[in-house]
This record gives sequence, structure tokens and C-alpha cells, in this order.
Amino acid sequence: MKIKAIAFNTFKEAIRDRILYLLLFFAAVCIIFSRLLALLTVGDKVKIIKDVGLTSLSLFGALMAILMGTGLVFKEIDKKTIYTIVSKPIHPVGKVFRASLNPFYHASSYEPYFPGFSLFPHLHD
Amino acid sequence: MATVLKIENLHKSFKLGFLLKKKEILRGISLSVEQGEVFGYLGPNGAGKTTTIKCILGLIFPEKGKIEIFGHSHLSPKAKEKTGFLPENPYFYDHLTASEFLDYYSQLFLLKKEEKEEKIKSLLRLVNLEDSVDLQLRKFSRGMLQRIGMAQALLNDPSLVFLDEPLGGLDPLGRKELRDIIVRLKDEGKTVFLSSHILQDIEMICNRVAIIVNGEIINQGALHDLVSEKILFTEVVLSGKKILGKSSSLSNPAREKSTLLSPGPKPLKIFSWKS
Repeated sequence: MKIKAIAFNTFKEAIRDRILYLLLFFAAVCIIFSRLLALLTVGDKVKIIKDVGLTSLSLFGALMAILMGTGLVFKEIDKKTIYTIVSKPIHPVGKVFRASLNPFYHASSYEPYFPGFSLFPHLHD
Repeated sequence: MATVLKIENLHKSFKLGFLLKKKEILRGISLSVEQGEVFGYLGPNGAGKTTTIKCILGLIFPEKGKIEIFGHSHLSPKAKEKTGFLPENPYFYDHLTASEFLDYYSQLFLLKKEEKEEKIKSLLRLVNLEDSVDLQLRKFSRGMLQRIGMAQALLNDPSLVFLDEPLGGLDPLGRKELRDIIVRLKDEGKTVFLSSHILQDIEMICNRVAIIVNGEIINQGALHDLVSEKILFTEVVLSGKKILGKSSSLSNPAREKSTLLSPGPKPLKIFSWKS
């Protein structure tokens, strides 16, 4: 129950983080840009759209995982919000474990959709 | 009266700088806090007040010494269930609204839904933040943050509340409001451990006081024992309007300054003598 409360708060913090919306905006710009790029190619529009789309998804997915994961841990320690949590009857190791897992959690959540090699789509064509 | 907090021979040092030079912050702190009292922990900046509180709450670990809260180790969940903590310069999860924030913290105490809702409402009423329930904490002023911090410290209805500089940086009205809450806690029979460097606050609220300087407790006891009621000095200040001799003194700012500093016609007189 306590873990659930902490996890839900972390999720809420992540989705209310302004950097998420900034990254989503640039990801959308990249995907739209792939349509323009496709016009420049001769005959292989789909490949360009697929490659640029997948690359931007993986790139921005990785950026989200890194920036939000590290940001959440950093804020927790820098703003000392962790003090009020650790002073409550919870196991401090659980909190730190949760915090340290954060970037991996984000990274792993993107992995099924965008496997690592999709960063370089030309390699597996 | 039962002892709720007992500290014996607490030592803590930090390794600072590139060469990891050891700096002793706490040098054998020993004190005890009885049930129902407001205990003032007084000392100048950098004396070790916050470090002591961090050691008590298990945020940092002392090198030597023993801390007991309600007879349990200070790290045990049983001790933490009965304590509340308001940190110095509180920064909370600013993406949450006031009600979400209290709801989150109440979940850490496993409060039931009805109990939780009732508690949140009454605490918001207590700290006078009923109108800001749906406002995100990032939009809160310093005083409002201090008050919501106080509310989160009281969520579990604690028997012992640690307040680290609760009145610091507040305007006179904000200070009064928080002081009233502390007095109310005292009236409800709760024990308050109040750290401050402002003598006036401690004098107004506390029953017992410990004075810490350079990591050592130099004095502790009941407030009336430490503060002498005998008047040692009397200071009489007489002030009045300055009589201006010539109009030219007004037109020349440099001369105006010099007349204030020079021994000429003094606008202010101070007499002090030993009683």
C-alpha cells in the first residue's frame, strides 16, 4: 500500500513534469518532418517515414527515460522532499530502491515497442 | 511525567572538502524531553540543531550515542508512527495540490479512507488553507508552504512533533498563526520539540530549553530557571523631534548627515544603569 502510494506519486510527478511535454512536442515535430523528407526521396517514401519515425521515437523515448528518471531522483534529494518521506514509518531502502530503479523502469517501458537497434534502422535493413 | 525522547552522548561529524577534513558537528549531546512539554532547542546558526533533529529522525546516522523515542529505538517504525516532522525551509512535491499532498502522506500512515478525508479537512481548517485545496504547491507562498508542512506533520496525530525553525522567514502574522498552532498542540497534551535561533519565540512558547553552541549543550532546564526574572539593566530611551537651527541644514544633505552623527543637538538620548 505504501509502495503503491509512492509509486503513484512518482508517476504523477513524471506526467506533470513540463519536460515531458517539451519532448513530446519535439518528437511530434520530428515525425511531421519525416513527411517532408519523404517528399525529397524518389519512390521510397515509406522507408524514410518509417526510419525517421522509429528513430525519433526511440531517441525521444531514451531522452524521456534519462531526463525524467534522473530529474526525479535529483529533485527528491536536492529539494530534500525525501526527508519528510524517510521520517515516516516506511523502510528507507525501499524508497531509495524505487528512486534508483526509476530510469530503468522508464527505459524498460519503451523497450518492447522500440528495441535498441531501432536507433539505427539502416543497420537491420 | 514519562520521558518521550532521550538522547545520550550523541556524536556526529562530517568529512568536508577535497581532503575530507573531519569536522565535528555534535560533541556529546545529551538531553531528555518529557511528555506534554514544548521543548525549545536554542542555538545560533551552525550550532548543530538541524543535525540533531536529522539524527533523531534517522535521516543521518550518528557515530556514537543512543537515541530513544517512547522507549523504542529512533529508527523503529513504532517510534516513527508517533512522530511528526516539519523540516526547515520545506520544499514539498510541488506538482501536487494541497489535498493531493496530504492524501499522499496519509497513505504512508495507512489511514482509512473516511478517517483520511476527515483528517485532511480538519487539518486544512487548522492551518487556514481551506481556500487553497486545489492549488498546486508550486503556487504557494513561503508561509502557506510552512502551514501545509505543519499539516503534514500532524496527519498521524503524533504524540511528539519535531519542528525545525518553523517560524523562520515568516511575516508577523504568519508567525502568530504558527505560534497559535504550536500552543494549541501544547494544550492538547502533545510534546513539541522546537528548534529555533530566535530567543523571543522560544521564550513565548517553551516550557523547557536546551541551549546548543558549537555542538555542545551549554545549558538546559526550565525556562524560568534559565531566564533571570531579576532586572539587571534598565534602559531609558528618550526621543523627540529635532529642532532645526537654520534652514540651510535641510538643503544640504551632507550637512544633515553630519548633524545627526555629530554631538550637536542630539535628537536621541539613552540612559542605562545597573539596577
